[in-house]
Amino acid sequence: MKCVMISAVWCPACLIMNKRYSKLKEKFPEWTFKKLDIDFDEEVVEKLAVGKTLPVFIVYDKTHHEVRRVVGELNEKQLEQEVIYG
Amino acid sequence: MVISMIYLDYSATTFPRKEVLDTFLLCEQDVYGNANSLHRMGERAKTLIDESTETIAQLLQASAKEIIYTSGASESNNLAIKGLAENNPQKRHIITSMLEHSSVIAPLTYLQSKGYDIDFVELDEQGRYEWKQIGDMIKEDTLCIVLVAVDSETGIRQPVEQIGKLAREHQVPFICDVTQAIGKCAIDLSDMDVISMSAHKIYGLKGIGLCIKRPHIKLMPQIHGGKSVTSLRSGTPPTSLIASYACATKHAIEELVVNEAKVGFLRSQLVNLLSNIDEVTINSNEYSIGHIVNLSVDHIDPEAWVQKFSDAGICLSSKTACSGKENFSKSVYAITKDMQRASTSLRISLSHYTEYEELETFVNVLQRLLKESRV
Repeated sequence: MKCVMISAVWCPACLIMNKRYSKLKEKFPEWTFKKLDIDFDEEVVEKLAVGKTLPVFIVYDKTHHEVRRVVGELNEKQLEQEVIYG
Repeated sequence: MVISMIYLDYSATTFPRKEVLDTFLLCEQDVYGNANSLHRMGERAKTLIDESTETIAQLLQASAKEIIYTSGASESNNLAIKGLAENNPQKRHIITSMLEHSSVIAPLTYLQSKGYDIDFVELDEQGRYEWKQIGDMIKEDTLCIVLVAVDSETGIRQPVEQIGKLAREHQVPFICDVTQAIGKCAIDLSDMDVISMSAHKIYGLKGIGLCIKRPHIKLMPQIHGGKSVTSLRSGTPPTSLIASYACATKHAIEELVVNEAKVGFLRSQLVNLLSNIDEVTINSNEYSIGHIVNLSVDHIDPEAWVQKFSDAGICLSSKTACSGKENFSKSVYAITKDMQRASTSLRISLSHYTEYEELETFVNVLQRLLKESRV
């Protein structure tokens, strides 16, 4: 499974979630975790139609099909629950 | 072509007052020498810069040696945060808040990517920092506390003087962005170690700001190129901008009491007019400076309504001009914990130049738009 976090350098909620995302990455080494920036990776992010609330976490299965999206600021437990277990 | 609009977005930027423009033009015409040149024209420019800097320093109760000219508060914030971090590599913990400008959050995100630990001070139910918690948040490796004096979206004035004293007790540098406070409310800068502000928020020109750095603070320059006005910010000294900034600061500080009272009166008139509209909730509170009235309007799309107001000849904001693409106000959400209110907020920012009739027109347009939206 793979998770992509879409964030922005100017976004306070993303600044908070970066740390929690890193912890998730450490806890689930069998997953692939990537990050995209809404401004610096504009062309890629545009295709994902993430809307305007950040950060967005998109979960993909092994065949790269989108499984779910998680949006906004969550605590560590909520992030794990919603990204990993859905 | 001059477009006649009702301007209610003074917290985004102000127009330059006549005295500021006159000063700028006069300097550009008569004092155009490079202040670093050794000839007479250079000396004249250097003298004008020194006099202007002395004026600004006195008005802001600082020393001329503490003044660093930048392109604006965004650069000042970057210089303060990254400059301090680079000079203190062993300190890797920073305390900040959710209310900061993007020019604070972005360098903090950059530092976080380099391994820095960022902690956020909580807000109380009035949207003010729980500043007494900061003492417990400070660690041995805390680099600095970075907090804004006035939230640009709700106008809430923060207890930065108390935080400055607390930071001093713990010997942790306090970086404070006072851009929305200068010229709008009384503020004591004496316990702040690095201070950011911008000219274009006080009827000055865009393209110049200040970073006040106390002597005990060491910063690494972020623009290298040798000594200019100071060794901490290279580039040809912008003599005319500096002289015009001194002019803007002089008016902002000397007219503060009168202007603050006028704006406070206008604000109460606006709130009174809005109180008759059921769909409107005021998010700003008794701690807000008079210049900012943040309100939520039930079920609206703020960006679309900013456009509707613009079409009706009124300029206002849905959130701060620099807050990026999020579709809710982080400040309103932090205070109300109500996503509906945070997603439907508008910011009206006033000036001592604002007329009561302009506020009446705004409220009439708001009522008309609400009526149309019900049909």
